Amino acid sequence: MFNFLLQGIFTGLIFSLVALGYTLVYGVLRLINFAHSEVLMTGGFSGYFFLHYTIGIHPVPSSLWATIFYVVLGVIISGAGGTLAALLIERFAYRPLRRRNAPKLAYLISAIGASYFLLNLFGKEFGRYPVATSQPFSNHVVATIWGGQITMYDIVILFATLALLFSLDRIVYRSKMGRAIRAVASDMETASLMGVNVNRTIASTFALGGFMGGAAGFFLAINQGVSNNMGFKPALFAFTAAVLGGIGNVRGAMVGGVILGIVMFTPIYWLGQPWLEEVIAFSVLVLILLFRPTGILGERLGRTA
Amino acid sequence: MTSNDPIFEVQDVTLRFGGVTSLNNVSIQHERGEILSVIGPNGAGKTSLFNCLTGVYVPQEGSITFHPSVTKAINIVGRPPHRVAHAGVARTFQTSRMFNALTTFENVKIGVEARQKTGPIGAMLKLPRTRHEEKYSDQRSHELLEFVNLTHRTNTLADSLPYGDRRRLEIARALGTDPKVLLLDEPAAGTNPSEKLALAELINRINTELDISILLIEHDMKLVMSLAERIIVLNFGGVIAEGTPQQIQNNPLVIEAYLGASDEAKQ
Amino acid sequence: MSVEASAPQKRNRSLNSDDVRRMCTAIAGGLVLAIMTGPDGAISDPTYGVKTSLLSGHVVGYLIFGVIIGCLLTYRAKVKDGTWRGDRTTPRRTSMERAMSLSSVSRYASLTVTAFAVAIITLIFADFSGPVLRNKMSMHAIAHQFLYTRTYGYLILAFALWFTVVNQAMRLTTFRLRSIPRPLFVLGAIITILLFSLTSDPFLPARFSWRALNPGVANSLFHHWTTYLWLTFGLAVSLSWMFKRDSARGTRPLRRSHALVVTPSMRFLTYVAAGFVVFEAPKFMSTYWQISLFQQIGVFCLLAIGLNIVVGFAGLLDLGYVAFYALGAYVTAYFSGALPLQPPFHLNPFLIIPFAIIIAMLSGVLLGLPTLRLRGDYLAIVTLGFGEIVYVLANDWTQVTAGSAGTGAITNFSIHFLGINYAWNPVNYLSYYYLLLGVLIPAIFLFDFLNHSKVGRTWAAIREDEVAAQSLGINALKYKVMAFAMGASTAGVAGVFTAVKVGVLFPNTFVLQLSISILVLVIFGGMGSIVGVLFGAIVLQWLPSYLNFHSYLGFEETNLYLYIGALLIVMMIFRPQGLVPSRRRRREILDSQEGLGSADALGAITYEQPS
Ligand SMILES: Nc1ncnc2c1ncn2[C@@H]1O[C@H](COP(=O)(O)OP(=O)(O)OP(=O)(O)O)[C@@H](O)[C@H]1O
Ligand SMILES: [Mg+2]
Repeated sequence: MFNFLLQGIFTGLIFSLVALGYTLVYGVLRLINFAHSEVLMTGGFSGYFFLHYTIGIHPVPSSLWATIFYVVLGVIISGAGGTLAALLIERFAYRPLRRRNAPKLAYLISAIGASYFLLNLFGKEFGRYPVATSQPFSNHVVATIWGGQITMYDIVILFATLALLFSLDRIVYRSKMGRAIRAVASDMETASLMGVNVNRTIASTFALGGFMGGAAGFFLAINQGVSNNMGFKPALFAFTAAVLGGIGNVRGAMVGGVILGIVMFTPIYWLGQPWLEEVIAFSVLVLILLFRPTGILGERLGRTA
Repeated sequence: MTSNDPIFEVQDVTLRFGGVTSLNNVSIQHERGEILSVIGPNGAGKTSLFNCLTGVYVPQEGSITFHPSVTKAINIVGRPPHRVAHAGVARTFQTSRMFNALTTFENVKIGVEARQKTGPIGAMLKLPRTRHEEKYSDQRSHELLEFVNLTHRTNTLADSLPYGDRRRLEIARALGTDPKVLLLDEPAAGTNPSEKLALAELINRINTELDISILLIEHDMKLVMSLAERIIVLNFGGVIAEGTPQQIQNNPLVIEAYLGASDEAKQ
Repeated sequence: MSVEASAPQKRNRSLNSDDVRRMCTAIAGGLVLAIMTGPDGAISDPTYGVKTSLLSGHVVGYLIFGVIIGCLLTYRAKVKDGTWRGDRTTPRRTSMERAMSLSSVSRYASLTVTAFAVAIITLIFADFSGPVLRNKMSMHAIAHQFLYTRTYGYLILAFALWFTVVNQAMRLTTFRLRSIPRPLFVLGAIITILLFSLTSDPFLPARFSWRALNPGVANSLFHHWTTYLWLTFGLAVSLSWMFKRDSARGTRPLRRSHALVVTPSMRFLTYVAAGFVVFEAPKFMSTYWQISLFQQIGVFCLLAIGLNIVVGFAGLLDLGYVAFYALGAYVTAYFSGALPLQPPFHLNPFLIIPFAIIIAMLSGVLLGLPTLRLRGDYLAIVTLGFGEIVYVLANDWTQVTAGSAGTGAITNFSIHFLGINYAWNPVNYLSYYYLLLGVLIPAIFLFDFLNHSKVGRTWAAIREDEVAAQSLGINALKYKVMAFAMGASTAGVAGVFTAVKVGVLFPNTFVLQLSISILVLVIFGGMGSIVGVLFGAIVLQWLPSYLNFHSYLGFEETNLYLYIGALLIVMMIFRPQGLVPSRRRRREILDSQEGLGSADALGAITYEQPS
């Protein structure tokens, strides 16, 4: 049971990373970025290629420093890949519509288009079957608590995501860029009148979310390998997490991810059918929307502290 | 007009948005058949009051009772907007909200049809009742367009109407729902003097010919003074004065509220 | 003219950075197209696909294409902001207009020519069905075909089609082609056609591959020249529509000049012709096309007009539409006893239809009630999740749905009634098609009535301004749920047909991607317009079948969604209202671009309730 709980927490941390992408973009544009799953996928592929061309088929590096080196560099490269994908999506699927003042439905549809385009472009270029990724560390069991096994992978995820979440929190709530983002989120027009460059701020929002999504893609790639549709399900779960935490609320997304992870995985212990995960996640989504559509911590990027 | 036949009774209504209190302990009595005007400087809470009266906002405290007839009483607080409208409260919006892609005629017709019973099955099969209702709504829409003097615009798309016509169309659409009371939010904003005159006349006709009580928000004092039987002044979410036009004109508090507001604006 | 005269100093003939940007974007677009159509790669050699696409002759045609598009875009922008003069000010009539002028004597001549032209076109059209060109008919046989009684039907069709096409084309030309300098346009057309005839893969414009010079391939190329003809035509029409300036811009009243003017007699003729095509043409088709006509086109027309109620009429984005389709199909399997879970009684598929409708409708209502009161984009993602769940259940809940192994055999349609005994024969594909028409045609008319009734107007009102609609006493939630449920039940019916025809269900038939492809049918054709949606469904469902059929074209079904994705983005930028838009919808989108109103319920200003 504890095993499932742990699995829930660690997977939930990844959801948090992805959920941030949804929440940031939602906070600023009031739109769900349907193409975010492909940001994840791009990050995953970046990580795959990085590991493939550095470690390749060589034996898994065993020293701690090697692990740290590969993970840090991998996260940065995947994050960069995710950022790039997010920026391209913003540039080609969102900005032209913004210039045209398009109705909201148009944004959703063009984001879906972007998502399908990237999904299938990667499928076309890199094949449509999952491929295992080279491992930057050996995934042995490090500790056992109450029958729950904590692996090296879990430890890496824990440290890496906490570091990422912490730095994102700093950026959003302490830096100048974060202030611009929050200003645009709370009132785009006023912000632009006050001299905030709205286009650049929106792009940086996408970039930030893209980095987090890309990094999440890296961990997914290590764990499950890469394939062109690797982003779809995690993204759906992450969206649920974002809604759970209150979409538009950065800290909410972080909390929401972990809670969703726990809620999703723990019951599997009793139910015994892993595919029920999705059913549970979906039911959670509908239930939150029914009873507390603003999520646990409430909505809004601009106003909540 | 007896003072114990109110159409709207607002008691101690308080509405807050986070830290902003946009209505503070407001109590208002709107008599049946009366033209009551609500004035006040910008941000005083006039539109918020309308939104509470129509169910769009739910005030945190207080009660709002609507009396469609002398014997009936309906609690507005917590009732969704469409059911408030059904009970007989119609409104217009401060920034006009037309169905822009539809014609003038269709706009009014939607108002009329909102009360009808035709469902999807009837509509698909064109059952006798649907046809009957359709005929009625066509006829009624034409009447209303004539009433507000827009017959010449029947087939114009709403977004290509001039500003004054849009205001009147919005009124016609609201009248289509067959209301007992009509709430007008700054109907004269952005209209020219001759249009204002026509509007004043129209409001009077709605009040007398159709027997509809009117609650009017307006910044144009001349219009308010000529139309209203009674005036309520809001400032910072509270009622600061109430009375006949003469009383309000001479009320020092009101004068100060307006001057004070403009002082603030200067700073 | 007065605008230009009033601001002569603004004119600046030189190109600025905006133009450079535009040109670069267009060329980059060309390169992306080259990659899209290039060979597939593999993860073991990740750069293979891109490298081969960009560093071979393959890329040339796309570069040229990019440059042409860049020129057109630049020209359009320059004319629009008054920097360059379009020759739109000249009152001269186009030659097309003169040729078609009703007062002209040439009218009769042109009619005769038209009749022949269209008859030939329809015969080519019949290439789809196969008898003429594919079987290399002799002149004699073709002549015979002409004299065949059904040809008269084609001739009626020909006239109707021609009137429609010319009417539309006239309006397009008078108002559109003039803004492009004619030489440039002609040059563009010639280059496009040349490129087509040189290439072996016309799926996308201008695939310039050296393979075309290979005589063997070149042979097959000219053999299938009709492909190029059709595609060139389609491309020209769609490009010109896509780049068409909409005169409905601004606050001027809608100009009717470019709308098709339909006279009652024309409408009658069109109905006759359409009826003829719909009922008669399939009889000539090869089995391949008869199957596709039901499975690829017919069923999807039904699905598309159902989704159109949700997306087009009510303005709600439903991304899990396929779930209701699956539900209908699995309900059929259930009542046929084809699932591990046995039903209390077995039913004839005809009797299953009402059950499917009710179950799909109920699930639509259950899903819609909690989510439809929220912002529209939540609905999109919840429906996406729902679609995924239904798929997961179908795939993994083996005790009930038999999972990926597939269901047992599903009962076929049959009638045993008043002494009539008729059973549908699985090999007689058309019998299913006609049965489907029996549902599809009434549905088209009923939904059209619905759109023009109180209910349709109410949907439009909610779409445009939910707050205003509610202030009139309209229960927005009720109407949204209604649309959602009606869409769902239509999909349920489509599910029954598919289930019965296919005979065995596999969860893979109902992957989530299918929802997106149905959405694309609706958007491509023009949401809110039934004709548009049918047009979209027929064209977009026909095209992959066609390309699959002519396998030498090198089309790979797996890449279909790549093109669909790109198409969605491009459509949203250049023609969000679809190719055959409904007037209301287009107007709303233009209004929104002008900053008036909110063009969909999704964007309706949400009043935040004080907490
Ligand atoms: N949805 C909302 N969220 C937050 N604050 C609001 C909201 N609606 C109104 N307010 C606040 O309530 C106060 C009253 O606003 P209201 O629109 O009622 O003023 P008004 O009297 O109609 O002014 P005007 O003459 O400019 O129309 C304002 O301070 C406004 O900021
Ligand atoms: Mg106001």
